[in-house]
Amino acid sequence: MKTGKKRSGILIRLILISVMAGICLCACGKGHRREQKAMLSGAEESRHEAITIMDGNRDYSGLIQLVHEKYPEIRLEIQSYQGYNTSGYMEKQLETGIMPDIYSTTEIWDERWQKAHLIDLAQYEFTDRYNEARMDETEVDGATYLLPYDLNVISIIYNKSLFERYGWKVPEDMEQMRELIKKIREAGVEVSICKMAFPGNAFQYFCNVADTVFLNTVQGQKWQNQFLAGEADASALQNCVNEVQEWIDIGLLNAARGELDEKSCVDKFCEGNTAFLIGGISRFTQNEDGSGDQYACMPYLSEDGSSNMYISLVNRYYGLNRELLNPENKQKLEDALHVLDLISTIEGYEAVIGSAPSVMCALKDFSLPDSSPYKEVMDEINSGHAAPFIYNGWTSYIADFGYKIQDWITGNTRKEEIIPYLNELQKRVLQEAEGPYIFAEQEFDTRQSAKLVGMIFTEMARSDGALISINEWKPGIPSGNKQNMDGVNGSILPGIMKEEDMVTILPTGWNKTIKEVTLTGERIRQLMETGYDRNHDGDTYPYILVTRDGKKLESDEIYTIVICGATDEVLREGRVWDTGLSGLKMAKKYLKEIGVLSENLLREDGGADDGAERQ
Amino acid sequence: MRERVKRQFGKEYFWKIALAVIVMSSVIVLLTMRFVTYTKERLYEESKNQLSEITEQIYEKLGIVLENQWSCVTTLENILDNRKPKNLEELSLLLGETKGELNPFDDSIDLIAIDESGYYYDSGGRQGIWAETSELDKNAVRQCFLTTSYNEEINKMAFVYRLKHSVLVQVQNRKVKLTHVILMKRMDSLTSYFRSSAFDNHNVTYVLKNNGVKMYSDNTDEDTLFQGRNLYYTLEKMEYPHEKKWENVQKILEEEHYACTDVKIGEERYFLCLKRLENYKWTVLFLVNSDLVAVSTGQMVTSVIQLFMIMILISGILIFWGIYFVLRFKKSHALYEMELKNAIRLTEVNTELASARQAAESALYVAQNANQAKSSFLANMSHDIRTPMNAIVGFSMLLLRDAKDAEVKSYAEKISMASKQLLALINNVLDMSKIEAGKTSLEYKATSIETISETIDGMMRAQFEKKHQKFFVLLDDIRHHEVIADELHINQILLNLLSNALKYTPEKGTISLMITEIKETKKGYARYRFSVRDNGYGMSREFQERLFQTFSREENARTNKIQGTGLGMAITKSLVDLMGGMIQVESTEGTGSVFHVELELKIARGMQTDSAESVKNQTGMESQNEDGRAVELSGTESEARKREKREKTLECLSGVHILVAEDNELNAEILTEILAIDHMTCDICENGRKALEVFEQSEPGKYQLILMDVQMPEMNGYEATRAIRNSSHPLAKTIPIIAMTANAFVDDIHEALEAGMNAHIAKPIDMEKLEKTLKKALLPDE
Repeated sequence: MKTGKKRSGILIRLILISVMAGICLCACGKGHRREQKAMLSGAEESRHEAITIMDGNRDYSGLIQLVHEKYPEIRLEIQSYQGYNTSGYMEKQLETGIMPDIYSTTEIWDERWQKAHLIDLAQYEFTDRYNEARMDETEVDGATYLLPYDLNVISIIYNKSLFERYGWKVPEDMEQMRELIKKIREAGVEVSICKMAFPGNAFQYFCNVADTVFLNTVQGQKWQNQFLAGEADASALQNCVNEVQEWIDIGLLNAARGELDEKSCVDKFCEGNTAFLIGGISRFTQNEDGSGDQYACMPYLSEDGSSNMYISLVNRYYGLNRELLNPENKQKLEDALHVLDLISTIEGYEAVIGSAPSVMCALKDFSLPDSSPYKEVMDEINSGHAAPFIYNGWTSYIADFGYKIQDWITGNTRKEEIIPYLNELQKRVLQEAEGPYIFAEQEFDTRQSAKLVGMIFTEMARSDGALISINEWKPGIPSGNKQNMDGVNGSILPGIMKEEDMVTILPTGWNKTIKEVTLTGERIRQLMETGYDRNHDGDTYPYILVTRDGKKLESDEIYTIVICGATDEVLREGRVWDTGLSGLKMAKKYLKEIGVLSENLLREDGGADDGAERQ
Repeated sequence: MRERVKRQFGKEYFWKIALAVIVMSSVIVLLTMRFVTYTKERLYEESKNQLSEITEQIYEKLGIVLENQWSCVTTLENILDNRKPKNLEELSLLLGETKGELNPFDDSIDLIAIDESGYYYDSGGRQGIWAETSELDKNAVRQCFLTTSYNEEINKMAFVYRLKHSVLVQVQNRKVKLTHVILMKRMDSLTSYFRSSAFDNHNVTYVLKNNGVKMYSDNTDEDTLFQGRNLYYTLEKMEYPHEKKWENVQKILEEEHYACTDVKIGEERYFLCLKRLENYKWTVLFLVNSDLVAVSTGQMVTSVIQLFMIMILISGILIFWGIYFVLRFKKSHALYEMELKNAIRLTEVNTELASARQAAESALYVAQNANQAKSSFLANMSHDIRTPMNAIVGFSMLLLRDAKDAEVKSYAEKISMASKQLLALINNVLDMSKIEAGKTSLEYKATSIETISETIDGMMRAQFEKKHQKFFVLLDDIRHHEVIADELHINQILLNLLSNALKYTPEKGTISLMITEIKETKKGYARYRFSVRDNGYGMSREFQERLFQTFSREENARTNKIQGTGLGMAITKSLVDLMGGMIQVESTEGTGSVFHVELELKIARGMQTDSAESVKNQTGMESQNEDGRAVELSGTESEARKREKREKTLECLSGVHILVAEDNELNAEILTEILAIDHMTCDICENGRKALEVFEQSEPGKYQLILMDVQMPEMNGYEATRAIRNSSHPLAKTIPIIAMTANAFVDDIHEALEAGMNAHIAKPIDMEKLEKTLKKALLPDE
């Protein structure tokens, strides 16, 4: 009887369960999916590989600190580059794909390279924080490989206090400028200081003036494309040449301080007896504390003032190396995305920029601070008085044409020579583009590059050897002047080596000459061991020593060697002597003869002594 | 049988029901699933239709708005054509007026003109380079793109229109050719066109480029579902319950320029509509939570589903119960039939049983009658045999006393012995018959193990001594001495066993009685083992098996010489059984036998448990255990005491005058003679009435005692005793009255005492017993 009852109970339960199960099955459909959360264990955190980024004249100390605060497990490692062609080096990086994890660049390069070597960031949330119209500029077929980050405005800097003191009105067209300059001269004030450290400076001055005339118009943009493709000659620039001549004639563009480097130019301007500074400035008061003269900015002026132009320059675009998509780089990708996410905030922006003179940021939340000298001219900038910085596509012209402009400014070239020269240059560039090429078979790192530079300079200067310093990133030392730009920076990246590519590594940059010192073998060895104490803080940069035919140096023998990166004391002690040989030209000559840059060349020639190894 | 059948049925029934449940459940589940799927599918299609209608309205509205912008631009073109502004001032004025006329209350638009160099001119007289000159397609009449370049960092949609006829305007000292007019509209002013009141404005709209890049969103909430600049990445990651994957939706979009599907984002379900806007290279993405789409229809369908579910549930339950009841009815019916068969069979069996019972009852009745008759016969026999036996015993005793001739004395002695044996036989027969008839009642009273052992010792020792046999009484490990027991019957059991041992053990043999307390079986009771051991003839194994049957005797050369009724062991066994005990025998022929009797006796309340040691000391058994001499001494002392006691008794009885009520003259004569032996005299009355009368009339002190027969004519002994006790005679209450009757059963003794008698003497009269009883009656204090 009991069994019967028990079975009845089971039966009823079975019925109910069956019905309920059926109903639930129908009503609920598929079961809930469980959320899976990946948790990093302490051991995993300790395995985070460093995320690399190249500084390229930008000081990332603030960013390193912020990343450390927000993500203690992420290490940001700086690949330092303080060479003479940052943009060119960045271009080559993107072309070859040999780049840090976080790729930064000053220009938007070939779309094919972007697709090949960068990750499409359009899928990530932080892209929503950027202004859509700005993002449109970098869009490639619906993908975003580069985030437009901070924008700078190139303008003419004037001494506001000086103007107020003399009651001068800021000119709005070239006519007013001419009038003002007369007054300036009468007042015994220097009209302007132009930074002329690089041929690129002169090139840019020409372009900036040309923007007010022609280059920034529809026709001008069209002409640029046609000229670079060899479809048009330079005659369209005649009005621009005339206008630049005007600038030279009235003394706005001059080479009076041409021998000074950028820092010296700025220091000179800040002395307070100069009306204009052509070439940009990083601070807008005479003193860091805000005391003394105040500086302000104004556009490059057109004749009638209707097409006055500020030059807008995107300082940096950021992207991610596509290699991070490899499965073994999963953690690195996650970390790199964290960093990009972080810099896509105002807090991150401030950490990246530091005290650099960036004007705007592409982030939606950004607003220009009231204290910014650009605040009062922003309306003008936004209302069609800004022209893009001309660089991309012109890299093969910058050095030569820049030298020509320098010559022109210094009075060594007449304006009539400019158009024909540019036409000649166009032919040469187009010819060189067809070859024969100097070809690097592979990547040569900084030490190998320094060895090559040593070999070139030793050979071309007929020296006993060369002592070439190399740059390494040192924490706590701000990028820019403080890091070692006197030695070799970066690597030789594989592929065709054009002039601008050589400049990326050459300690002599575009136009500097090879210098020699005379020292004993013992002293040279001693310098090798101590390194280049650039900042006199004991934290030295290593040397690479190359000797002719690989000979060992005798301690008591006296040798004449090329030196790249030496303290004033060493230069005095070695009785420094400028050979007058352009480093770039010597390199071009040497490499043209070689044709192909292979690993064997560096191995066979030998003669290099690695100071770091001794240390 | 019934349970087994039910179990069998239950098992069969269970599996049938289970099968029905599974089948029905499956059918219901499938049916429900099909219904729900179908209903959901219909609801999905209905939702899509509704959504298409609503979104179509939005797109239409948006299209109208966009077209309006173009109308404005073409109007501007016409105005430019007609008025042909000569200089910048006129152009600025024209632009300002046109803006005011076209959209007097709309600040969200700006009108500008572009010249062939890319310079713009606006209503405020401002001019500058139009940053999007690179965007301008020379061949396109209409172009539309997003811009922030003009004046402020606000997203604006630029409606760029190429003038059919360029317009020459003097600007400063140069002539410029206007080629385009542009209307720039703030995107946020379009937000209201993307919203739908049908969804309480909870929908989200994006304007995308056809490649998925976000151009505009009306969603200001940062916690948006679509993260990242290209929405196609997010769309790729979504679940598509109907279209399965994003590529399929894209394909539909490419082919039909419109796609609508449901998507799952996490646990939430949405409807996604994508519409390609012709002429704009834009795609409008529309997303709304499915809860907001076709709400009424959804609610109705949900209600229908719920109702259907409930109905299915109820139907299911009813069907299950129906199946359950049908099967249960079948089961009940089958059980009923089975029970019916069983009932018929049962009736038959009952009839047979009733017949058997009737027969048994008849047999019982006959047996009872027979038994009653037997009992009656035995009772009568007892009385009737004892009465002449009394004469035989009495006269043989007198003859033995008075005969001078030795031969006559010998004869008398033999007669006496034969009569005693006959009496024993009669007593045993009577005992057995009483036990069998269930008339033996046990009389429990407080006694002690020592008392029992001493009594037995006292009764049997002399007989063992006569046969020169050693006799030991041993008590071992007695923890409870005082017990409630039927001492009389225990004694009878032990006497039977010891008598048996006496008889079947040759002279100089050894017999022992050992009493052991085994263990306390239950609270308040103690279990004792009485072991009677002898080293006599022993018994064959065959005989042991029938030892306790009535009239069983071992037949062999030795035992045949021994007298016995063959009832002793049967009586013993019956008494042990009656007391709930157990009897066992171990015997080896030629070696001896041991009988074990185990009895459970109630421990007398308030009695302390003493150690076996102390008991032994108290009873003086220790010396007996050490050797047999103590026993012998004890026996010697007992005999002497006996003689001494008898002398005292005779002294006491001498001269006593007794009133005797005895109807049998022979017995009266014998009694008179017996009493005379002990120098007593008597008056005989022939019945109770006579005796009463004689006593009442007698002077106090004439009679010291009355001996009263029981079965007498006119007034029996009991009645006479009651009458005497109730009489006015001064000694009526105190005079000892002793029953002297052939009614020798225990019940008879009780009845005698109840009637007021002081003691009972069974016939035939045992001289010694008579003397003892009389003395005790006359001198109760001794």
